[in-house]
Amino acid sequence: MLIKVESVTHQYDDMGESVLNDINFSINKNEFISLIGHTGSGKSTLVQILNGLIKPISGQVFLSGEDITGKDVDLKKVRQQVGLVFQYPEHQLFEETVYQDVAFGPKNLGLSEETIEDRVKDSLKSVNLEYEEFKDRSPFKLSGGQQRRVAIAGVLAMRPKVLILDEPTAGLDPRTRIELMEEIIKFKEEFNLTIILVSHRMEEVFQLADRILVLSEGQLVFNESPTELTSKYHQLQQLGLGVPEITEVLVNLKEKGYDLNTNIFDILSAKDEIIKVLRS
Amino acid sequence: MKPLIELNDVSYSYNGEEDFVLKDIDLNIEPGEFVAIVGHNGSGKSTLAKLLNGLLLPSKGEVKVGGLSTTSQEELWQIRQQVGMVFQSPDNQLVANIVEEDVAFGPENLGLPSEEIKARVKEALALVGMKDFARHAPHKLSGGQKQRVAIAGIIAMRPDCLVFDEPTAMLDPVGRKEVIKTVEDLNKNEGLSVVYITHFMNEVVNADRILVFEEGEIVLSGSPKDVFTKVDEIKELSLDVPQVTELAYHLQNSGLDIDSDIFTVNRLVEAICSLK
Repeated sequence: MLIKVESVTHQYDDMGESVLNDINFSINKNEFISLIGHTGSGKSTLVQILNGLIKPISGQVFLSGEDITGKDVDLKKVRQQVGLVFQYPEHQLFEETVYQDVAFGPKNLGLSEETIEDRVKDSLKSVNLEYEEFKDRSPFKLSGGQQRRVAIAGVLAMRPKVLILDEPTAGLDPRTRIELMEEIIKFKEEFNLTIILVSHRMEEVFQLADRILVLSEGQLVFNESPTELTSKYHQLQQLGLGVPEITEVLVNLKEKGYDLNTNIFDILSAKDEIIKVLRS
Repeated sequence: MKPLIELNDVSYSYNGEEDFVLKDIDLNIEPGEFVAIVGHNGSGKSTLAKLLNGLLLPSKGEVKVGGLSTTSQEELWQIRQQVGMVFQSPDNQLVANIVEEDVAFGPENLGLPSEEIKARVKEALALVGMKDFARHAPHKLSGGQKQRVAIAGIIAMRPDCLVFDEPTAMLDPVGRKEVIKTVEDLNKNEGLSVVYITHFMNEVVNADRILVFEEGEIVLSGSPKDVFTKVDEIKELSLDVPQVTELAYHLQNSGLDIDSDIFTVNRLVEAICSLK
């Protein structure tokens, strides 16, 4: 088990309500986890606890068996192992060249120039930015999609075990969004990563995730596979969340008496399933 | 009826003569019309928005608002009062420490008497569903609420047309719904013209007209039905069609008797059930 979260509770001030309330779950190596919930549900707090930016007021988080909420924990190491890509990460670019920006993290790890260069090359390649073409350019003169890729490359260059992406496609146009999601799927394999994706896009979440964690008002209300979660469709709706539109069509048809499989999250399979049931 | 906004052969280049980001655009926007503009970054959408109220002036051609050319310096203030703009970031558009003061900012600059300003602020906040927040601090509001306050600030100027440049790009699904509903209500109930730029196709299924921009040109236009049913062309442009519309399209192509202008889950479910 790579990450284990035990009875984690957090609040920001003593009198206030808990933003996270007795959260328990674990994540295995190489899993693709999605974290969903409304703004204010506690998602951002939780991801910051997972990489040691916030220490919960109670409970423990274990990373490869080590308690990262303990006293003597090496937070630098935790943050190297659990990479966090914030929302709009391009707002945090600051160096003069793309190379320097991506190299910033590895430099702080005290690696050799040679290793750093290798890592910058590999990381830029993973996000489809040609090394020679981009390394000397100013990050501020790139397009929004390119800037975001540079920011992600900077986190990849730390060679984390876990990569947390907080709405990585927010604000991107559809073409760039599709490309970036494909890159994420690809570099997950390449770097053997465990992914935690925070997203509002259900069609993305249900297609990609092995498991979905649903937060609502600081509680972990569901921790299930997309298939299991589909059967809780009405409860999800009550939380103001849902399943992908096409899955919703299948669920509604099933409730009207059609005998079909509702665990389908892509359009072409949904088409096949509907045709199959209509012709049977 | 005369068009509210007319674009005649409008081209625009940021660096003078070459690299036109908009090419020979001819477009009329009618009073009360809801026009949606979709397209990728760099397709020219935002440039078009800024041409509509004279924030940019055309390199070639002419933009007229209510018959007045945006190149005329004397008319520019009147044009900007007529055509208000709402931008992407909810945080960059609010200036005051209290909601009602923020909304009053525009009318105060018009030099209106204070009774009139008060009345306009009250009305504008009611129209966006924020009247209970008049005395709140903007920074404590949600993203959707901030955008609605920004819209109220524009409405208080009593414009004829509202131009939205990706107003929901930075919002969560709840905030997004709040803003779309507000925009639709203002268009339907108050008769305001709306030009609505977005990446989210499912936000504009109720528009009167959708224009698809690609490389500075309008490559597709028509009613939502006309545009969304061209699934292949839209996919070719890597734009999104609502998932249900795409599913309906594939079912139709497989020989089922299903309309292609389906934008909601309920309608598709009904259509499939009625096949029996």
